[in-house]
Amino acid sequence: MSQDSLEVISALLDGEPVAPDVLAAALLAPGAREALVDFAGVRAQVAADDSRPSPAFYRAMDRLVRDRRRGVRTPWAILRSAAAVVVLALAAVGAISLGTRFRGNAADEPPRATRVIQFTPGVDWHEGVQR
Amino acid sequence: MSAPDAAALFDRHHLAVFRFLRRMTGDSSLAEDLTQEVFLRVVRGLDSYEERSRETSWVFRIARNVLSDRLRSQARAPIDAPVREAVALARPAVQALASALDQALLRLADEDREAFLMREVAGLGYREIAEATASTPDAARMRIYRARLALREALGPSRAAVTRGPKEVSK
Repeated sequence: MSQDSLEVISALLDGEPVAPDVLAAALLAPGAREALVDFAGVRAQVAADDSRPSPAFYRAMDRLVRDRRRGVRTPWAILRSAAAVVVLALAAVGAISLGTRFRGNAADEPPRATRVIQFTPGVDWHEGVQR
Repeated sequence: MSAPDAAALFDRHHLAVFRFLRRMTGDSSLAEDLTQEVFLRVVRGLDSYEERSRETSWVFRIARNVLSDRLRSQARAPIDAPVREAVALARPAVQALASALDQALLRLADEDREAFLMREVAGLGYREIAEATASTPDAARMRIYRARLALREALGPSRAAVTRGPKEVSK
């Protein structure tokens, strides 16, 4: 049986597209039926594997994958949040620093008047007041 | 479409990943350890998950990297007796396993076994195997074909089929 025929049968088993005439020729080759049966038998043996990880594995994995679903944060996520906080803090400090520079130092200037009292000469401010 | 949920990914793929790694290493406890590492990396990598890569290919690419990292780190370790033993345990060729199929699988070339198991255990197509192994679909097809021929030879002509019932053969 030629290698090409076996390759065609193998590809067919894998669900790959095979031209019907090529498949027909491959299946007519001597030993094709036996090869197909053997390949299917190997597949069945592999598929019969029902091994599973231990309960300890599932406990460990449960913590890992379900905790993420519940919102428990990974170290990487915590690190990223911390970096974001630092960037925001630096931005705030920078903004305050710039504001101070452009406004000047407020302690060097008198406060702005909120009302003005005018003094008029000749007015007796005590007139009419009982002494 | 957003990145898949970690728990859903685990539910969908952990058995295939475990069985793939068990067949690759021939060691169940090592396979458990490696499977944990795979899903740790999957969870960490969810934020950078690329939509364009197929989910199964992505998970198995990680599994492959975890396995090769482990084998590389063991190979780099100082060669004293306990380490030599650990390396030997991780190297498939010297791991004694019970079934003829397991032994035949362990005698395959690493890349042939890898492609064959991705196909048969995880159900990946040629393109997905190519994505997971950084190769081509043609290379995946040839590796699987070589593995099948070698397994057929090792198990004996028509032996595999007659030892299984019709229900299993039809899977």
